Amino acid sequence: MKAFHHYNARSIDQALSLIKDHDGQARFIAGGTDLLGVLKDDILPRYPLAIINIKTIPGLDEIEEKKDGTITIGALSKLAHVAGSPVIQKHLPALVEAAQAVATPEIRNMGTIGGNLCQDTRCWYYRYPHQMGGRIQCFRKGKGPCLALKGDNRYHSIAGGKGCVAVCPSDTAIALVALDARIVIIGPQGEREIPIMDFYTNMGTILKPDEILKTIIIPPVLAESKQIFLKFTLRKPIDFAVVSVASLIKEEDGMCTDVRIALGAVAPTPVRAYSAEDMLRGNSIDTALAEEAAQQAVKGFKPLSMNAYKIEITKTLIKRSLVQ
Amino acid sequence: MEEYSVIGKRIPRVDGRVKVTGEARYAADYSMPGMLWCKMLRSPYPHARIVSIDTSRAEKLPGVKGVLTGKDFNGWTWGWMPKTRDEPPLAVDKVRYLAEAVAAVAAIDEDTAEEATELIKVEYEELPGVFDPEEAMKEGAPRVHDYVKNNLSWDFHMDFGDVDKGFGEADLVREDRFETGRVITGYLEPPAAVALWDSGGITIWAAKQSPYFVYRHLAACFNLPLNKVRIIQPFIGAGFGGTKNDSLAGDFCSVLFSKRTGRPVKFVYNMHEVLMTCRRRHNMIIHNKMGMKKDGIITAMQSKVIADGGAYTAIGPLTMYLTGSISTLPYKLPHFRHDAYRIFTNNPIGAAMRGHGVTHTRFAAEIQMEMMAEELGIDPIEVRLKNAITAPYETINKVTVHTCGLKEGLKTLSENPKWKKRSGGSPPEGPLSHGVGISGTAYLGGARQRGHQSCGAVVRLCEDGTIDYLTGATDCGQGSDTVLVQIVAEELGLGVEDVDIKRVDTAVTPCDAGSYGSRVTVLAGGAARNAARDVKRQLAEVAARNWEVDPGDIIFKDQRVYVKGEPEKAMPFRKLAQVACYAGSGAVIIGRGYSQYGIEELDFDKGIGNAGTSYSFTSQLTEVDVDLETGFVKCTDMVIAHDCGRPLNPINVEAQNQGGAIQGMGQAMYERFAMDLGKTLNANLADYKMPLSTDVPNIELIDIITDDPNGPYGAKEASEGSTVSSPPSVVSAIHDATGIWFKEQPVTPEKIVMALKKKRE
Ligand SMILES: Cc1cc2nc3c(=O)[nH]c(=O)nc-3n(C[C@H](O)[C@H](O)[C@H](O)COP(=O)(O)OP(=O)(O)OC[C@H]3O[C@@H](n4cnc5c(N)ncnc54)[C@H](O)[C@@H]3O)c2cc1C
Repeated sequence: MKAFHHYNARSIDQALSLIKDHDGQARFIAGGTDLLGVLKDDILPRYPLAIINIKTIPGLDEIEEKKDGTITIGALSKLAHVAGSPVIQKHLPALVEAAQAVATPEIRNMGTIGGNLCQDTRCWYYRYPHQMGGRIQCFRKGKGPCLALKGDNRYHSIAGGKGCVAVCPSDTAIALVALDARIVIIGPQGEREIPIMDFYTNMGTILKPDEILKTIIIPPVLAESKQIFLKFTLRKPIDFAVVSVASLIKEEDGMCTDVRIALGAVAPTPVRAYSAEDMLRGNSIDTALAEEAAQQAVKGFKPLSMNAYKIEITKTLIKRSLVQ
Repeated sequence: MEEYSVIGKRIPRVDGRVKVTGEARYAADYSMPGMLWCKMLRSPYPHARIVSIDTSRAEKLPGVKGVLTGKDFNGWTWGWMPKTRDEPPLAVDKVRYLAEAVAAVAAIDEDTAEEATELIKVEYEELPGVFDPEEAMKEGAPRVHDYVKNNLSWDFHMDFGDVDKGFGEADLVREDRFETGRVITGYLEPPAAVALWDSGGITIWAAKQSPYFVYRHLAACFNLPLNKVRIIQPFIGAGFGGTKNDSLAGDFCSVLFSKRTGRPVKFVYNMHEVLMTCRRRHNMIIHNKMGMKKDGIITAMQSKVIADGGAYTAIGPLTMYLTGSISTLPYKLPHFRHDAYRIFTNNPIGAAMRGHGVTHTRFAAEIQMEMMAEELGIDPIEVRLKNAITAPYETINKVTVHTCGLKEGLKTLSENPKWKKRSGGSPPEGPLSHGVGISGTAYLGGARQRGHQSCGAVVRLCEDGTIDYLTGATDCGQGSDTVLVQIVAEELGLGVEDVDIKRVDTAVTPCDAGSYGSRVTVLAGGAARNAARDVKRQLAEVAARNWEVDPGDIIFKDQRVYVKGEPEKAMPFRKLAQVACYAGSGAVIIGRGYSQYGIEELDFDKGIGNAGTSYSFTSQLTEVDVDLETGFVKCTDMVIAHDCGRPLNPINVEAQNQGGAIQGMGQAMYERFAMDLGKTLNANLADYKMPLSTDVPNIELIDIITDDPNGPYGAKEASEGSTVSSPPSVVSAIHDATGIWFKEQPVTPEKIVMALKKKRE
């Protein structure tokens, strides 16, 4: 790994002014579990001169339940902390499952939920290590072609992607989409709050290099809703999702009154299965309907040359998330 | 049966404590004052001509002490046979695989060395590459080595009996195409070394599982006599064949840098280098044809093997030999023809790995045999029992088997409740379908290659009755140090705590062929026994003189020495050692021994004869649960009935069988290099998916004792058999659960879920 300066920021203001001083040549670091890999493998054309640690900013790692039932999670909360928090365990089992499904205990002890949402894609062309004959160019790095289109794309998108077919690797993002979370971003222009779905684009997050993801806000969850997060991997720990599904269902008298289904690792961004949700709302969910909804959810998906199998797995996970 | 005191006991590893406490030092733990770091510059192209290399900027970087390119080795190349010496330490005029080392830098620290590699300017002329062995064989394909037509690296042919006649006698003939995976060994410790050149020659602390290969390579490369090449072995963090049985760019470059700078030079490969440039298992395509009678008797087999050899030959000829010569075990084969082609491609190099050569063709034959049995309505165990050999046996290519526990193993498994409750197609409960599979395989132990084959041992008696034990055999993690110590202790009536095994040091320890082909216990073990007996003989003479009895009547047991039938004539071993060493003008007692094969010449061209001293037999039952809606497979249980002759240390035998079976399961279900035009896309341990502890099934081991006459205390091999038995057993279980035969490794959920979908439609 190449040398860089390392700063411990004491406040958001200091972090923002440090990043400004480095004029785009610095990066924020939280747990470092993703960033250090990116740097060690030297996958990006521009290597930062400085790393600004934001874990040292007080108050960014708190989890709170507001009076109205809103839950806020500081972006610097460790994944292990999120998964173990009594408040989250009580109200947001899907998020517990998702945080618990990330990587390994070591990584969950280091990695933060903010870092998990901001992490870079795992596309193996994008991540190809520079020391082994040179990094691979792609649209995400500024200049194509995308080698995954014709190459080994078994873990890539089954739902298209303009310019990039790498999938969003974050597990917690999927649960948070089903929970209809919003996130607070702070930067030189001040604070803004956006729905988590708007955080992701085909080419990564909308976060600017000089912005900090500060808080995750989860609105009061539908009372008595059923929350499920399912993740398909080859091996039990460590693996990123091949496909994941988070669903939140509210039923009254056996009738689905509200539902949200989020799909992970199927597209460059998290995907909401709106049309499947529509099929379910107002009906009582049985296996047949769940299967129909699953079919509906993948309608229009276009697998790449090597990943049609992901469609089958997606359908199964959706079905299971509805009737398990 | 003789009663042993130490042999056959569950003795914990002699190296366990130092490894667990972190005291054991591995190659990468060594450092010395003034030491330089060596780093490689690696090729961005899988196939390109090197037009020019400009190292001037790198040389000028402060802290850089030297830069090497291919020319610095004056055209020296190495390889397994005189006619296959095709690999240069650094690429000379051409690069043949992606990330091949093109230049090396030595600098005062690792970061400077790495930075300097980026300042080296190499001009390449890219050449069309060839990555698929079947394409590479075709007329007009790009040539990986200009002088090699059709990229044929090596071919090997066997023809015994009359296969056409055999197929003619068959009621059923099948032809199938099988493919084994692109997998790698998976040692945790990366290749590393510290090299020092001084007036004494070369001293290198290197992570090698067979240091005497490197000893010869370095002597040849640097034109030094063997007594000027000293390899001192640190502890070794696993090997599994291939890379650590060979030399690599880092070894040669560090030595040359040290020669030029007079300073010690170190290198440590990173995981990308391990996974992208180190030797892998050959990926093989096997076209298999088998004939069977209605009653399940195999009449003939014909195999055509195409192996992706990658850019250089390495040990490939032996791999090809083993794909065929062991195919005649463990089932009777009256007619057999084998044609194996190792093909150069612009992929990383294929070489030996645990289960060497045998795992590929045995996988094909096992699965095909079971497919045919199924067509004929014969039970999978039944078809195996019908064809299994029984000892003594000589195959059509004169492989001689003295002991064989295959039938006993298969019968044991057939009586296992797990086999009895096998569904054989009964409907699954929910989406989960349970499957039970079986296999019955053989593997050679005490393997030999061409050239030097013996193992030596020196047992030095210390005057206080303790023992220094010197061996050239390397414990790369398999536990051989413990077994060798047990053998010495057993012979001298001592405990393992009385015997201290020294690290291998080519300047001190006796020459040894290496830790490959399941040969250490069998052959180095034989040497240890002979050397210990030599000491025992000398001591018995002293004792006999003392007591005026026949030396043959002296018994060594429980750290004591006594006369048979006269228990009053007894003394502690320690006392006898003192008497022997101090009597008269004193004596120095050294025992020596070496292993001999006692087996006839091997015809390497025709595939005739024994490539090993004995053969282990492994029967394996595997249980899986397959999720029919996602294709996910959980391997839940394995029962392995293994004939290793006699387990000298049951803990080790268990561990080796578990490790081998899991490695085989990894190959069958998980592991695979994702390759794209010579690029390895998943050269990290998150994306290259070896099974983790949580993926491991319960494994029960049943020892089938056969006491082989050729092994010490009846022992045969125990470290590779289950690597061979595991893949067919796992795939047989997946078939039982899904009704589908998968013929290509690895059998991943993606393949299963799509095959099930196709089956439904
Ligand atoms: C072997 C392995 C397996 C993994 N498996 C999984 C998995 O199964 N599922 C999964 O979801 N993830 C997985 N991950 C990813 C892991 O979850 C992330 O590495 C981790 O969550 C990132 O958190 P961090 O705090 O360490 O982020 P860092 O590495 O510190 O940061 C990651 C990126 O986000 C930016 N960043 C971090 N926090 C902020 C913030 N508050 N504001 C602005 N920018 C920020 C950094 O600048 C950097 O670019 C795996 C990682 C590894 C190494």
